[in-house]
Amino acid sequence: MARADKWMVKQFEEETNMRAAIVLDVSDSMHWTGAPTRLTKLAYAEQIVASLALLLIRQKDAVGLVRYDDSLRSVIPPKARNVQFRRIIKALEDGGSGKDSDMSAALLQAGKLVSRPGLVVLVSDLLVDEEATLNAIKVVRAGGHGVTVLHIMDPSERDFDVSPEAIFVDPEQNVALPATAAEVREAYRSTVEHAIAEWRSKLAALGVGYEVVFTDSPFGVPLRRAFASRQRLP
Amino acid sequence: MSFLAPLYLLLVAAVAVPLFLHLRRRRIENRVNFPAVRYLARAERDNVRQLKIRNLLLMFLRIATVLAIAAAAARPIGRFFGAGHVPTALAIVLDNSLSTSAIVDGQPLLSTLREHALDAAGAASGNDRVWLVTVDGTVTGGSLEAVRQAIARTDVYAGRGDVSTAMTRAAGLVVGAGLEGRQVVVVTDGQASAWNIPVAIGDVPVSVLTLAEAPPRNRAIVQADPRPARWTPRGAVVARAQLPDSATYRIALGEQTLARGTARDGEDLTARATPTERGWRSGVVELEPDELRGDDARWFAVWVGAAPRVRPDPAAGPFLRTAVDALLQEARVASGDEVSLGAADGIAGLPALLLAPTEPSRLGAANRTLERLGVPWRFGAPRRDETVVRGDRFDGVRASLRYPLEAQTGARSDTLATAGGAPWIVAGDGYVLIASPLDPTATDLPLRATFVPWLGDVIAQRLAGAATAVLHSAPGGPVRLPAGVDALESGDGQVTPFVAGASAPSRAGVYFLRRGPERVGALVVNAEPEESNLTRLPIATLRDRIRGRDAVVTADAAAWQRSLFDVGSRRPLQLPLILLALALLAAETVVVRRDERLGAAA
Repeated sequence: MARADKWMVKQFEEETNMRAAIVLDVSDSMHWTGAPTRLTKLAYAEQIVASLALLLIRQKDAVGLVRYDDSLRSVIPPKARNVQFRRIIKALEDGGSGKDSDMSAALLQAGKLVSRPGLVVLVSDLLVDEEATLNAIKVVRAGGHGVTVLHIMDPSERDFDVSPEAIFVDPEQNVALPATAAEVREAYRSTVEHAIAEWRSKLAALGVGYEVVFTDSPFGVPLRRAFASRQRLP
Repeated sequence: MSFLAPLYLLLVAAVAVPLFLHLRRRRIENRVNFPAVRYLARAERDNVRQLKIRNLLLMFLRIATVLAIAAAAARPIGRFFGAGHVPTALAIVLDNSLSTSAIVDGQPLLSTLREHALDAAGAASGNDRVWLVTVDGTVTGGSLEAVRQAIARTDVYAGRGDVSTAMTRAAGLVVGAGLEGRQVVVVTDGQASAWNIPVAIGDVPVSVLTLAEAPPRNRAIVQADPRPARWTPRGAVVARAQLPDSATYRIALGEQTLARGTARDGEDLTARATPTERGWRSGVVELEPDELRGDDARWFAVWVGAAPRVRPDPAAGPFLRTAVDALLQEARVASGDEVSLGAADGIAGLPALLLAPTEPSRLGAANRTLERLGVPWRFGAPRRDETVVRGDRFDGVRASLRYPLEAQTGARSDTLATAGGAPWIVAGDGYVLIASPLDPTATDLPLRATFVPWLGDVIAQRLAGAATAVLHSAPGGPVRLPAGVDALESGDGQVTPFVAGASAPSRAGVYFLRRGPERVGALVVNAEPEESNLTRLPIATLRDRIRGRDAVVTADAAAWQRSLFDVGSRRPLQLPLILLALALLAAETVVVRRDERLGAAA
């Protein structure tokens, strides 16, 4: 009841005032796709990053971006202004494709960018040094930040259906391994599932959200699932 | 195992394909970027043992598949493991000839051969048909048990037998059985004289077990002849022994011993005698016993009595008269009217030796005489062509003038010789008829050295009194008795009716020919002299003697046993190999698809 003695409805738009940093892996391994009809892992990840950044900015949260490969390629401090989105989009157009992934440095840099407890979102294929990565995440978590990891995978990395028989070459490590898909597929699938389970288990122990995102699925679904526990996000 | 198309075995070289594929996997040149190599490396590291086993299994399956296909293409024939043998017609030829009665290691050879034959029968099953064929011509069929009992009962045959005929008969039995498997097995002592001719049994598989050991030393009487065949009453027995050394012998006529002494190999043993008893008598020449008893005695028969009294017709020519004079000098005949000899037209009564007339103009008179005497033969129109005479003791005799003999209704006689396909000499009850006059212008018979002995034998055996022929035969051998003989009397006095076409008795000895109550001759049954030679045929030679497919000849009883039903158990293996190849391919597919299916499912 207002002063006019009439029923009124007031509508408020909530502003979370959160500071978030998106850490995007742009190393060489992210430039790979198992089928020409699919996006590369990096292209798919960039769409996720753009979407996420737009959502955060629209709810007046500050969002920043750290791109890295074997070094930090782009560092955009978190801002809540609308122009921030254009900065992020422009940064996504920058180069990358380093031969390695220095994720530890990128995570530590992201932790520094977020001055008070906020959110760090890691978007990567996780083809990295596992122990160093977990240590870096521990440091970020120690700073009071929430961490969510989006594990980007091409379906061919799960199904191992790239070639029936070939010498498979790691573009980052330059490691070559001859194999016949039919012979090792079962063992490979088991190994991949085991690796995902390990990531999920160890990250959960650190209180880190973890979601596997395949590049052949609509990215809205994994995003919704990844951030479902965070009430402030739509 | 054998192959019908062995050239296809060259397909075995195709095993190089899976081997090449297996090795080629290590030489992949196609390089593909794949960021998740670390997962692949970990997968291979964690599953290296399983992968190696899988690869080896796949290689084995592929090689085995190629081998199975190559073998199947070569159309193998062989034993199928665990399949037993197909229903088989099995004929067991058991050599029970006299030589198998030799004692070796304390028992007759036949006992050993019987055991092997029982082994062969024991390998048969209820689905088989089995026969026992012995070399004496006996065939036993029926149930397996009946054949086993027949084998166990088989006794030594007193003669040589005929292994060739036995095998031919056995082959006929198995072929006629109509079963899928056919086999003839032979158990023999491998005596060379028994296997003296090749035996052809067609495409029936045959497996022969022979003996490789040296035969025992053997002593035998191989000859025992009374001379002359009719003693008047003097005569002699001439015998001969086959000996590796020397041995004592005895010659006996009835119960009377005529001679004793020591015999040496090949030496004539002669005993002269003038028996007091008359009629048909049997005698034996015997040696001291050795390992083969069956040939230690040899039998003979002789007729003892007065010399037949003969009167030759002076018109018959000088040759007949001269021959009779010679017989008179030897006391084989005497002068008298008992037997007439001469041209048919001048003979007054039987018994008589009737010659063809010397002149064609006397042909009618001669035939009238034959009719009057009741001789069922007539002289035909004279023929003046040079003709060879055929018959026992007439080799080389020629006839240039002959009156072909024409049989009349009811003629029952023996033909002793033929000329130009027609009877030349026939003998009947009380007569001997010759189709040519005994003149060199008609035949050269009277010029032959054999003429006088032949004439003496004809008078003694065909014309004199009740005496007829002395016949010789091997045990069970063919025998043709003179007309009118209706029974045989054995040495112990037992009389057995004799039917036409029957064989000689299977036991050696003297059997008197009976015409009613009267003895009219003798059948002397002795083993063949060659049966006393125990020399064995080498295995290779024996194998050459058998003209057949898949002939196995061995002295190894175990190998022989293994060869039994070998053919029956051999069958085309093409289908099983094709099935095996398909099974291997299916297994290979399962192994390959298993990973793909699991991957797809995951």
